[in-house]
Amino acid sequence: MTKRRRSRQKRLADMAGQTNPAMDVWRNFARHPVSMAALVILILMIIAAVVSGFLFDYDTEVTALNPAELLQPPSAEHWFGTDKFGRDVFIRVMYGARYSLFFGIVTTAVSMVLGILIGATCAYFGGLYDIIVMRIMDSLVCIPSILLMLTLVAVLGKGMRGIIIALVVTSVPGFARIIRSIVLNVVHQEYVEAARASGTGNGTIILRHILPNCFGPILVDVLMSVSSCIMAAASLSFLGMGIQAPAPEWGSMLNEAMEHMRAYPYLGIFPGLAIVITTLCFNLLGDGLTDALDPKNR
Amino acid sequence: MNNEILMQVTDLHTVLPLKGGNLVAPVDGVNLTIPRGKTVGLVGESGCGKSMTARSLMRLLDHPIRIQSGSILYYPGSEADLARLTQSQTGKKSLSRPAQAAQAPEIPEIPEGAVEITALTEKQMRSIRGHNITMIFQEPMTALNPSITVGKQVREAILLHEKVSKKEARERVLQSFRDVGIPEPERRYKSYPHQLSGGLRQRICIAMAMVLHPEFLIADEPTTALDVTVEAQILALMKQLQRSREMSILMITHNLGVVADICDEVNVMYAGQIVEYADKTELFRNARHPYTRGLMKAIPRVRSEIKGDLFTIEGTVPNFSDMPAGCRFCDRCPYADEQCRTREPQLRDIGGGHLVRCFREVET
Repeated sequence: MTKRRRSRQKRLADMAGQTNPAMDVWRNFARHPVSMAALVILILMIIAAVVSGFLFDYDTEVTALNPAELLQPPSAEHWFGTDKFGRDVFIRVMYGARYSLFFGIVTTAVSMVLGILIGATCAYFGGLYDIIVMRIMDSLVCIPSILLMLTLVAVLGKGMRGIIIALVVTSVPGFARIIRSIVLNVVHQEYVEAARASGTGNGTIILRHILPNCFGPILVDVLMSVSSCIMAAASLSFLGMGIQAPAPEWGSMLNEAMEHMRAYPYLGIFPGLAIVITTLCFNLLGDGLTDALDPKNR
Repeated sequence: MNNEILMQVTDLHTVLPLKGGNLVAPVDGVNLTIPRGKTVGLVGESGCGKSMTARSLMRLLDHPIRIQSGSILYYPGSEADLARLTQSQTGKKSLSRPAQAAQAPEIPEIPEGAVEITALTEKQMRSIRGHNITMIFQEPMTALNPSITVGKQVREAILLHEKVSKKEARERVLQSFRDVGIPEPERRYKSYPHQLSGGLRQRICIAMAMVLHPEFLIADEPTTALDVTVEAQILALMKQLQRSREMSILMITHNLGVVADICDEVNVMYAGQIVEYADKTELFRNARHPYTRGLMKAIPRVRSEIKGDLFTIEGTVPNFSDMPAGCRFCDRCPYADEQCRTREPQLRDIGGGHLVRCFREVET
């Protein structure tokens, strides 16, 4: 079917009142080649992250020392070369996606839930509750996030748990503030009042009438946050406060690569590229979705 | 059960606290009687407290606005509703009354068959909203949730109040769509609000409000956003529904044409107070308050020759925080004298239940 005929069909379907909003969004999204490319790359990365767990053995292939093959340049056998302990950089970068994507997605999910809870209730109920909670959030935003994260990790310990809590604590206030302002736009709409006038309870109003109408802007913000969480986790590891040395976290790989920067730049280039590409893809995906979800483009 | 009166509002004060502890009262001592099965108009210009009065009746006030004092007695039409609302009210009385009493010491005894809206819990209020009393809004463009199909939105109103299966609820939604004259209800059920025209959306809003057969409908300028042909259709629909269901309507409007078309009785509101109340025919024949007269003169007429500008009432509604000491209309009133500026007039009966808040009504 040609593009023109398809859009004509869409218009006819629209006139007949039979469109599926999810399909509309997808159609709009598919029109952006860049965002589509970002989506494909991210899907491949997620597959790689999942598969690498089964494909490579952590103890023998990812972290084991191999003195026979120290610091080899990229070749057919070792696509990204080997590091100073003779470990294959390609395997380590691929395996590292597990950490970064995990941190990015899990911490964003947790902070999104908390942020929605805080932001939406503040905007909906208002009053003293709103003032107190938002001032607490404001004061958290005031502290430079890297400082706050380092402190939290130092207190909580350098494991997964410490990093996740540190990332969540630093990203929730931003979320809560943005979600509050998005919800404030919706809360005074007449359909919210109409829902109250037909006897709907507060919880149902927030879940059914307010949040679905904030979905677009929130989703975009969430994707941006995934990339900033990945960056933050990598920075922590780079500073030695995150995932510890033998584990192939991209940030700590960059740290290890520093001392060989001049002679063996590929040691830093590949993990660095991995970070850049991942965060860039999440941002591009967010941009594409902003356009696709804009009701004016439907 | 009271057969004649559905709601009796007495001396209602709804206040908005300002910074610095001052209070302003957008609704300042309003009395309203809503007879069963009749349409009552509430007329006035923007900002006079019409909508605030309506919202007070359903206790849909945004924080920090609150009802300071006054009584809203609601006489439920069915014994079951009365039992439901009074039973827990008396059970709750010992807990909630002292706090209430501190705010408004002079709450009189609640008469037989009535429910005091201002003393209900929020949960009881929710069970009344939509089920017994319901409201339709001015903007059909924004009164429907854009992310849910209209059918589901109306269905939700049913599922909220009654334990019925989704399939049965759907059937009732389709029936209510037919009742309000929506063509092809099956297909409209699956439409999103942005796919419908303004008139159709207002019909959906009415269907949503009517689907549970409430006995009292508050219509807050339901036709202001519609063009005149659609307005006429919607008003005709409301009249027809009211007659077939013996429902009471409180029609809030600034359009005297709408009043003439649909109302039985009219309350004219100015600056938070009722300034004139009369039967519709009486009001249009014999308006006595200078404000009502001004409103009537301001209606453009088809046959009158236009000489210069349309008639307007001089000035604007006084600010709520800076009310004149005497009559609230005195600054804009061509008949005002010394007495009007110093003493506040009270509503008084000038014969046949026609109430006017004016000292000089005879001369006008």
